[in-house]
Amino acid sequence: MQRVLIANRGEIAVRILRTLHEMGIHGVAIYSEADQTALHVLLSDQAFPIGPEEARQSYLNIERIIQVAKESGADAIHPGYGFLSENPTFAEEVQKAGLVFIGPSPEAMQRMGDKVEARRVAEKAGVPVIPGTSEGFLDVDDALDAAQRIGFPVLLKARMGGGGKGMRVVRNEHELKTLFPMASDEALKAFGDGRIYIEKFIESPRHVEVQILADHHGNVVYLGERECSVQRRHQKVLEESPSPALTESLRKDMGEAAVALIREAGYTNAGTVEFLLDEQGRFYFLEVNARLQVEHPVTEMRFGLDLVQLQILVAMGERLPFRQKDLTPHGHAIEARIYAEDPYRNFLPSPGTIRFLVEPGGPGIRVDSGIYAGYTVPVYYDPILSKVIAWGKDRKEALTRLERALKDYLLLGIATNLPFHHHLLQHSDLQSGDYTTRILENFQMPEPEGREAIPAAIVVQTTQPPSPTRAQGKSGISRWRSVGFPASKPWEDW
Amino acid sequence: MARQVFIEFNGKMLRVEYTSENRHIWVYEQEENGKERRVPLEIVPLGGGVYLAFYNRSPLLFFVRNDKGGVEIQTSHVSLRARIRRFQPKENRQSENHSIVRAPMSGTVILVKKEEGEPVSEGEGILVLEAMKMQNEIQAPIPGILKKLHVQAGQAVTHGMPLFEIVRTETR
Repeated sequence: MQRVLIANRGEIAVRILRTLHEMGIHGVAIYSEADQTALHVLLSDQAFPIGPEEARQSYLNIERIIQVAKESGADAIHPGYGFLSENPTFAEEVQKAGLVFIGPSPEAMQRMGDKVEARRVAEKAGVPVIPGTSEGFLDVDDALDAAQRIGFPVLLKARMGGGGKGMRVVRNEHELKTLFPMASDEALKAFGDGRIYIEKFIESPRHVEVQILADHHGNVVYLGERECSVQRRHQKVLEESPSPALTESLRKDMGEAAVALIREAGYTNAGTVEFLLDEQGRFYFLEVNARLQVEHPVTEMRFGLDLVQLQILVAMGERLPFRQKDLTPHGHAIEARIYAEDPYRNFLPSPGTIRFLVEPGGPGIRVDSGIYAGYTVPVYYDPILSKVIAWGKDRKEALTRLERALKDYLLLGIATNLPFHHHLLQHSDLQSGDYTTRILENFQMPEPEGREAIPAAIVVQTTQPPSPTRAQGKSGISRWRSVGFPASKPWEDW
Repeated sequence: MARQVFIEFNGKMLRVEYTSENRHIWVYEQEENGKERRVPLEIVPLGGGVYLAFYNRSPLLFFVRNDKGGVEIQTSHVSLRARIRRFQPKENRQSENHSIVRAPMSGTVILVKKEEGEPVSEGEGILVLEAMKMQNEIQAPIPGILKKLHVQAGQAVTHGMPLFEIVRTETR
């Protein structure tokens, strides 16, 4: 492999470039009109424009990306995460063009992308799935029978469901008798089908995923788990490994279940098997992510491996250089995702120009970043700016280092979720490790404390001459400048 | 009288008064409990709206820009919006019918713009005081008549010395 095109942008494109360069492979970047000056372009060996800002016309434009890959002389494509990474059509088109797709086969991707098919594969591999009925019910007595077999609490779901319509959590027989007809009626009205599925309701689950690697020679290994329960509106914000909830035997059970499923699916390359873990320590298959995950560095830090490098070796047809027994993780790793969103304004996205940037470093800290000082974060894409990964010999050390690193993270010009992370790290459940996906349910950002900054800002604001930044795009002197004390000389003369 | 600014922050009013002496800025910060503290402040501009302040000797990196209806102040760990007001809230101002304005710093009066007995409006420049190579316009804090001028052009003044007096006239 001489030349790899990265069909992605931002921090993940930068991260992949780094491995390519270590392997002596040329990295080809693609960019939309919004990304000409993005970091992944700056660090690439070659960069090609692929279209306008909207992802649909650029980073999701299969035809154009393959055309550029051919033009650049690339022999493989790495899709990163998001965008086209789990699109079987793209993987197939890449192969048809005579290029290597660094990821699973289109067939395996297709199979894992179909939720019903994935569940069937899991069952066949003997992997527990969330207990539920395979048919829908119209009759309340049949439904009650099924619910009692599964065990309360259960979730009623419309057969043709979506958007929560017809969905009810039912905790006992009495509730079922009342709520079932309502759910069925709602489903009938909404979807023209009143049939109701019944599924076990997992009250406070954890979201734990297992990293796997599979080559084309029948070798499949698991690389421990990642605890991903800290989510805000289904968006992960912090991940750690190992999960504080797993015992050694549970870890082994989940790892082996993931391997069995991957074998059954005929899946190759890197992938992630997601599980829900209930409060009794029972796990259920959720889905397979047929790609490199955002949070993959957490695993890399513990195993001392480069997953992108291994993805490339597997794609080249090589054998995995280790077996399960050779894999021993060390210490604890935690990742905090840094997003361009303002936690003080209901996590509103905050694109804009970064005016000042010092990213953290020091013992045990890794930063995967796609930004630089002076860079303008575009409005068109995912708000992820970077990831801070802390490694420590144990969880306590990793947490301490993460907290320190986040305090060292100096980023000005746009709002980020850094203040959110500071408060999250103070959360007693996070500190104890005893948390579930509900950890952020009632999370409230405290009022901003910034009184020290105010007087300094006022002195600047009421004495400084208009700076080019403020003069731009503004007609005349702003109201707030005019109410300040007039300064006849620049305030530096003070 | 030093420069005085009111900030609306978290629904509360904060008063910040600042003055410069010997190239140092001092901030008189009124705490919520009514007590006042004097804090040394030094500011180094880093460009692009970014400043490094030494506030009470602690380094503080911040970004500031005008925002709709106020000012946005950002450090790496907070981003907050505040409204800056130069004058006291109306209810306080109206009770003030006679104002003696004092020199906010030691310096030289280089220009007197008004004469005794002239009507002046709120915020109107009365004289210009130069200190540390910087010219500061000293303004009328209330509308009224310039009742008394204590200084003349060319005169050196020291911090706290009375400069002029204004008596409020009822215009409403």
